[in-house]
Amino acid sequence: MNNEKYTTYTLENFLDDDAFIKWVSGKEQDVLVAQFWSEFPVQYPSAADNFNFAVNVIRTYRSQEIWENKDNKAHLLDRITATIAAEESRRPGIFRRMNVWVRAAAIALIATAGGYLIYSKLNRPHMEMIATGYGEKRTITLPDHSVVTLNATSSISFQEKWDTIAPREVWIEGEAFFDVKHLNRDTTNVRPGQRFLVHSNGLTIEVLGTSFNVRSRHGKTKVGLVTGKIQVGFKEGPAAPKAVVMLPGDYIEYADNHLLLTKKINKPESIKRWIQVPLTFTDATLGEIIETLQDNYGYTVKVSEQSIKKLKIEGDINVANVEELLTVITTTLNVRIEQPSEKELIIASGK
Amino acid sequence: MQSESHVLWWNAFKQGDWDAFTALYGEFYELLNNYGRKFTQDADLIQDVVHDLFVRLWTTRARLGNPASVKNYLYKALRSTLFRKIQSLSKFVELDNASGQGTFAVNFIPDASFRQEEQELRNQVIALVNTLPARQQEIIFLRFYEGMSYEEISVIMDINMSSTYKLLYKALDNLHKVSDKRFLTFLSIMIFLFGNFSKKIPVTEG
Repeated sequence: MNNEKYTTYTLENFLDDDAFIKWVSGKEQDVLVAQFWSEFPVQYPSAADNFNFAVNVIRTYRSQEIWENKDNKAHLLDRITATIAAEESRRPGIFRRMNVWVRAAAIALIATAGGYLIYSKLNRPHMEMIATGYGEKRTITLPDHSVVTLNATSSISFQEKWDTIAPREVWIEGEAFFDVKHLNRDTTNVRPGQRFLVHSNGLTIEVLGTSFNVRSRHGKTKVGLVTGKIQVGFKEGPAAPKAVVMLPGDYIEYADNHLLLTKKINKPESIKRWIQVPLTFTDATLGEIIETLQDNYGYTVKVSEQSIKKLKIEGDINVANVEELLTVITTTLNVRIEQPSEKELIIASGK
Repeated sequence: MQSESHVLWWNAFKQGDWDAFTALYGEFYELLNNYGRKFTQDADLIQDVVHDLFVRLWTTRARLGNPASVKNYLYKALRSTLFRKIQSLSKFVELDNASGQGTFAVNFIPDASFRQEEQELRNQVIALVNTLPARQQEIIFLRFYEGMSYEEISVIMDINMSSTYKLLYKALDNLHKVSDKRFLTFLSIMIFLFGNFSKKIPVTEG
């Protein structure tokens, strides 16, 4: 296996040798080839110094940070899956499964519909609307690559294409968590296209590069900020509250043109826990839990007396499904729960 | 280089096999993140790019060919997706490297376990690499870290072979100077210690 050329191999020859590079970076699968290179300094002592130096240089270079971001691996696959599902539902694959005759008929129909679409597109910008059903959650990537997670029975609307002149605007019903792409750092000189506005039930959240949660149900809107900074403006009117600038941990509740509550929350991260955990509560009253069962899961819940809605479960609840949640309620509170049908619950005080 | 399972997964995925698609994701997620990290420190941006890359893979699967190396194909796709994204984002966002193909950097791990002599070489190599322009650093990374051939590098970076050589030789030249300096130091110590002791000189021309 001796080869004359190796006896005078220079450093540059080594660094230029694809086979040597492959071996020294640990990519050589062939045992014989690997053996050849490990025995090289013995086989070709005249080139051993250059060999060793080349190996040293490359191994030195290779002692570098490996950044794999494993923590986000599963979450990102969920996001990819959600985006693909959304795109495929927009262009259903039913067409391919039709037989030739049905297809011919379908083409005629699509042509007409397409003509209408082109016509309407020329006239007004296309609005995208995405909604979730009971018990469903969805992650959406906006045109500027900001990410929104929608909770159950919620919807988001926005223009399909965003240009750089107009502000970015979205409309929310229900609950959503926003992770907005960084905006410009010079807050004294914000161009219109760098503005990001979230409209929800009479209030407008102006985002300054951040992540926050908005929950708008039964005419009441709750906003909690996790990172960054936002400004919340309210629908104009004689008694309208003044715009509020929120900092991380700030939490507000708003309804009927009134600011009902402003407070600091200890663990701002907890307001977005619903993204990971199906059912999550902190120091929740039975009334709040019932609201979630109705809003997010479509249950009809009756109570024997209104006062039991004020019963509170201290601490955190993190459960995977409604069944577990009901077990937590009956074991911690002095109530019993009957389930006359799948989506019906009756809660009464006493065991 | 091309592993058999990569080819199997690739072919199955093109036929619409979702499990093969997620197998490819599982196989290359870490490598793509690591490569992407060299262009930007923005972890969210890298996640977005990997997201876009896999979404596009799936939606265009019927039109995809059979790359000689799935890994290299994905590297090339990551690169172009990332550059495009940085460019389009720069309309909305002020990025550190809005010019697009701006930066490429590796983070060297501080390691006290190196012997002093190695430490010296190490410092020189790091200092040299850090002075190189982004594209030369990328070639070094693909060559010395990923162990790729010149041909593979030129395909991924979309530059022709001669310019690949040119860029690399520039970098190697600099490396050479470092090595020369080190050997001169080494030799002068030897000569000092052993007087007229003659030793073959490993330094090459250039």
